[in-house]
Amino acid sequence: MVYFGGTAHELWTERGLEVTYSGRTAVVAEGEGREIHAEAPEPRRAGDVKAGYNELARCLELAIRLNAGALSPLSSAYFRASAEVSRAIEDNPDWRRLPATFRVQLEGGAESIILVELLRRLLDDCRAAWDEAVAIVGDCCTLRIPRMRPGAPVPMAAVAALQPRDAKLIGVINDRLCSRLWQAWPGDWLRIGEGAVVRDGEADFTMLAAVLCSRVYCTKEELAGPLRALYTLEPARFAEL
Amino acid sequence: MIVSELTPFITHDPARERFHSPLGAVETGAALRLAFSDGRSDVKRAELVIAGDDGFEQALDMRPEGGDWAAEFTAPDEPAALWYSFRLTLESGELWLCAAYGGRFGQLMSTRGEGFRLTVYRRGFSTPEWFRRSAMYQIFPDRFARDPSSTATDGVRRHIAMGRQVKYHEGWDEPVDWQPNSAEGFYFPLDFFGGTFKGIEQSLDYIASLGIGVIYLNPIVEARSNHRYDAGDYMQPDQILGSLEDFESLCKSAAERGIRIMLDGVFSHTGADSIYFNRDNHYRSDGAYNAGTRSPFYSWYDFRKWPSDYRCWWNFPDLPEVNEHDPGWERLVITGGDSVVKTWLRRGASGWRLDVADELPDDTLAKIRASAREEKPDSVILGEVWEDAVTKFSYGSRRKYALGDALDTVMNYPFRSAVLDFLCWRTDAWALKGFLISQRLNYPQPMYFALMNLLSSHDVERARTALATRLDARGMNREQQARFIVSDAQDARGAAMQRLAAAIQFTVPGVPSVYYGDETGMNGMLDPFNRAPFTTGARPLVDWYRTLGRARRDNDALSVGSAAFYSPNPDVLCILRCITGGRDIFGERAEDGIFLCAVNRAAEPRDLVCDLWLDNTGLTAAELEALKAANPTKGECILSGERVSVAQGLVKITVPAEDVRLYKLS
Repeated sequence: MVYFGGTAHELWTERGLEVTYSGRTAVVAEGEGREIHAEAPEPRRAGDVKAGYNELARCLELAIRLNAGALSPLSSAYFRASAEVSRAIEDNPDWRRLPATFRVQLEGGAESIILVELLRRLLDDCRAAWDEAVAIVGDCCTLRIPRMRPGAPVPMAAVAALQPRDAKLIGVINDRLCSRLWQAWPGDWLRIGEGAVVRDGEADFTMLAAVLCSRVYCTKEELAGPLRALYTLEPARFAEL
Repeated sequence: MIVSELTPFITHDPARERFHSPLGAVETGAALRLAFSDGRSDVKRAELVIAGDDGFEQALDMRPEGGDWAAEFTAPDEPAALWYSFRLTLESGELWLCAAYGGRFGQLMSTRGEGFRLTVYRRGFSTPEWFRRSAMYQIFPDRFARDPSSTATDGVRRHIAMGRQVKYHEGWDEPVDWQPNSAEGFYFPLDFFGGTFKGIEQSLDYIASLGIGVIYLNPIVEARSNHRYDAGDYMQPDQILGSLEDFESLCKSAAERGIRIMLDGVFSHTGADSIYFNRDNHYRSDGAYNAGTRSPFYSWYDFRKWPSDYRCWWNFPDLPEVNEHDPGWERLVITGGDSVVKTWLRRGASGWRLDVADELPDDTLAKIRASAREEKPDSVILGEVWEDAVTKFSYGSRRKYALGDALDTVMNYPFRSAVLDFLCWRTDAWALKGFLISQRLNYPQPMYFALMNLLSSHDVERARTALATRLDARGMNREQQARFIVSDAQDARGAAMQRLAAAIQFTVPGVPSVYYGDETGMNGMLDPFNRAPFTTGARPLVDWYRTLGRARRDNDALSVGSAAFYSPNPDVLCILRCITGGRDIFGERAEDGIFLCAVNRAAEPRDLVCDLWLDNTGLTAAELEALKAANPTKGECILSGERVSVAQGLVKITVPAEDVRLYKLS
């Protein structure tokens, strides 16, 4: 099942952070890889029949538009990413061993949302600690930036409309990156801004992937350009194409 | 109260020419553009407020300029240490953009806080080129080298004949005296080891092999103590060191090896046991103490009640202070045709280090420099200053000796503290980089490239000991210091860190100063333990100092090249020195070269990338453009032979544990 939109409700309990959602629209992901497509879930038989019908109609419409490619590339990428992550976690009851079987190569475009989705599931559903979850995400994913950089920056509001927790996690990743940049260049806001994932309310997914992936393959121009600050912070993760 | 939500958008960085042009200190009357960024257009009105001493304040309206606010300012006609900040009017009210993070970056505040520094120095201020290119070797003359003649023992006999108490150490390897030896129960430095001018002269080849260009001698004039900071006769060399001919021979032999001699001028006070004061009647002169108003020197001193109540340096009765504005003193010491300052230059010296320069009036310092230049146009005047020389405040006023009218340069004790703090793990490379950039920005350029960058001296514990023990010896009394033993493990650590300290010292702008015996691994706490006879310790670094000294001597960029500082890792400091276009920073002919020094203090190797194209590391925009145009693509370490590649200003290097790389980039 892949959920779209809605509102996330966060509650800190003795077990940690409990996240619940309301107002989401669900579709079922069927098939694998490029053949993956959406279907409406089975209608619920109990309760308000009219409301159930309306919800099913929304799900059906979403599934049809997804299959027809009528939604934004980010929505399609999110659908695919969420489906793949769900399947990977279902197939690996011991999520700590996920990197052994689940490997993803990214290009730094919209598909990079899989990084945040995997992180979210590890944190919220598997109850992994932050550092552990980030390490697993990094080990599962590599980034290979093509000569033509994919995609433009993505408005954070668009991410939040798909999965509000993903948007929140991107914000946290950005904050942590900025604090590392601050350590290296305290007070140098211009440089910190240039190296950040989120700027002016938009997320740079290539930068996001470069921050999270354990291995980054890119051109000299990328290293000397947009990834310069990150490269000087952690050169060991980067390799030239 | 500090306001933070707008901080990322409203910034000022004095190390960027976008905000501060030209970069660094400026000459009097120079035009200057100061600006800050306003990334979200929050600012409705802005004012540049410049303040200085004696109530000086000037406010200038700023204008918006492509996302920034800027104002032009003409530096005053008189040298000054100034501070500036920005007064902003926003929708929400008035805010101040003030200095933070060591004065490097801006911080929004609801009230006016600390300003950014702006140093204005005298137009035309220059320092001798030979000095900027030199490495220095400091010698405490009694403790460096004996010679086989009877010079020292003859001198000791003469001191004794004068009635003085003298102890002569027969053995060069005897420990220095530190126990109380006076009737009052104080330690007085009366023990001599018998180092001589001839001894130094015979060691000149060794000193030259270190790449040294100038020897700084602690006082050599006739005096009662072994340190000779209590001058007895300004005109005569101490007989224990040798004769005038010996001194002149030393200068001549040194010159033949391209080495100059700098002397230590102790002019704020004399010895009580001197021709001038003659408290102990050891001289035949009419001194101020023994002859009172009959003495030609009486007016030099301030007697509250003659003869025994007089003003003295730090209340030491053996060091009566002089009145520097007394015409007789001024004539004899500074301005006369055969003044002390001129005479010793005539005898072969090339400059003066001025003891306690803080305690000499600015106009006296200026006269000393003028007098020295009159006698020898390329002579150097170096002041003993322990703090930031530009902002130094002493005896109720801001000192201006670093602003082009008085001193050529100063002892850079803040450099010593910053380097030792880094290598003792009290700070990190980011802090050291910030300090180095701040000196680059705040010292007048001619002085900055002539700063005496020392790690040890006769007044502080030796670098080896400070790095080995990580102790502050000032917290120990003399007995504790005498009994302290630097363990073998500590010495090993000290040696490893001293290698790194020396590499920093020899690659930053300024004149690296090696205190005798540092290169041979001598240990020593504070005075008198830091003045032991020259010897070789367990872990000498002579070859290391020789390598660094020669590298600096053979490559103009390492002495007079532009400088930039980086800290790509908290444990690694990188220093870039470069000359492009065949001219150094002062427009003098110099050989092109680009060098990158990387110093890793960690016990593990560090893989890192140094970004040479950062725009706020100390280079001007023009220097950075020249560096980009030179576009180095490879480098070879002149110490290890290791090669690296450079791509678009990014140098990927591995620095081994506790080691140094010095790459020549091309």
